[in-house]
Amino acid sequence: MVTATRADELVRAYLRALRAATRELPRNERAELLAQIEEHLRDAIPSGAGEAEARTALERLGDPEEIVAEEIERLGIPRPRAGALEWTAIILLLLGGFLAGVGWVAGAVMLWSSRAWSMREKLIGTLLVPGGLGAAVFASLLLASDGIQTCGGIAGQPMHCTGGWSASHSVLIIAVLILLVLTPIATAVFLARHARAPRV
Amino acid sequence: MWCMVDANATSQLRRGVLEYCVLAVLAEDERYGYELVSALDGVLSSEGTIYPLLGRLRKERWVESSWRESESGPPRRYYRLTAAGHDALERFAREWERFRDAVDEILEGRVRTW
Repeated sequence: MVTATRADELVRAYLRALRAATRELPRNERAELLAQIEEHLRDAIPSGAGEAEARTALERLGDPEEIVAEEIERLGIPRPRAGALEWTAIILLLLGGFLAGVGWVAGAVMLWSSRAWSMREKLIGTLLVPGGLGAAVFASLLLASDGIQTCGGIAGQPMHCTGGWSASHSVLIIAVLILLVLTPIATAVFLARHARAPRV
Repeated sequence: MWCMVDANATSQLRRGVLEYCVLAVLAEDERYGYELVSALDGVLSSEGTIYPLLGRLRKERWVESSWRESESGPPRRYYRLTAAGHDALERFAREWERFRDAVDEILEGRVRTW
């Protein structure tokens, strides 16, 4: 009978975090470290252990990042840091759209030529939002001009208006505009946090 | 202010002596990972950091390991002290004694004059 207990779930989540944290390690060292920690957990958390017991054991084992930092130091791998290329790419992706779009394209080229990001991170950096903040602002202006109401009429008669949006429509458009501006900023923060220096 | 110095000083101290504590535990008998961690209770800041440390000690050839069936449970990796590891431990034990006495003397002298 196989039933996943709450303790199993905690262990699985921990191992997932550990696997993610060890991505930068050389293949053999990584497999070795993972095997050792798995063996440790089999001993520390006997099958049928409760949630509290599992939680305590994992806390004692320590933060995956801390364990990996120790391993990185042992192996003499320089601590991952984003370089000038990565920072330029992030800034150009965010603001390069204002430079007639060319800046953003340069940023995208740098993003894809850097080894500091994974394929998934590069896709996020490119697609959210193409053109960056510049494109977002441009799209906002375009959308806003569409919503301007023009009114006119003859004196003494009810005014007649054309164009413009209904209230619910306006709320939707404003939400989209805010999203358009916030997304490139969030993407820039995401890229900055996930950048790691290529292994030497 | 003292507290800040304290935490940092403790972690610095731990860093220096931890690998010799591992050697000392393994000098008694070979152990598998979790046994070793249990024996080091109170010296480790987080248990998981023992594994990178064991890697360093193996590279140093002070410790060797082998996979073996245990009496109960799945096969385990056992760690054992090498002859070079014994030598290193002995050198450290002598050095530690001198160092500890010198530090004690300085600390006590300081307490008295204050």
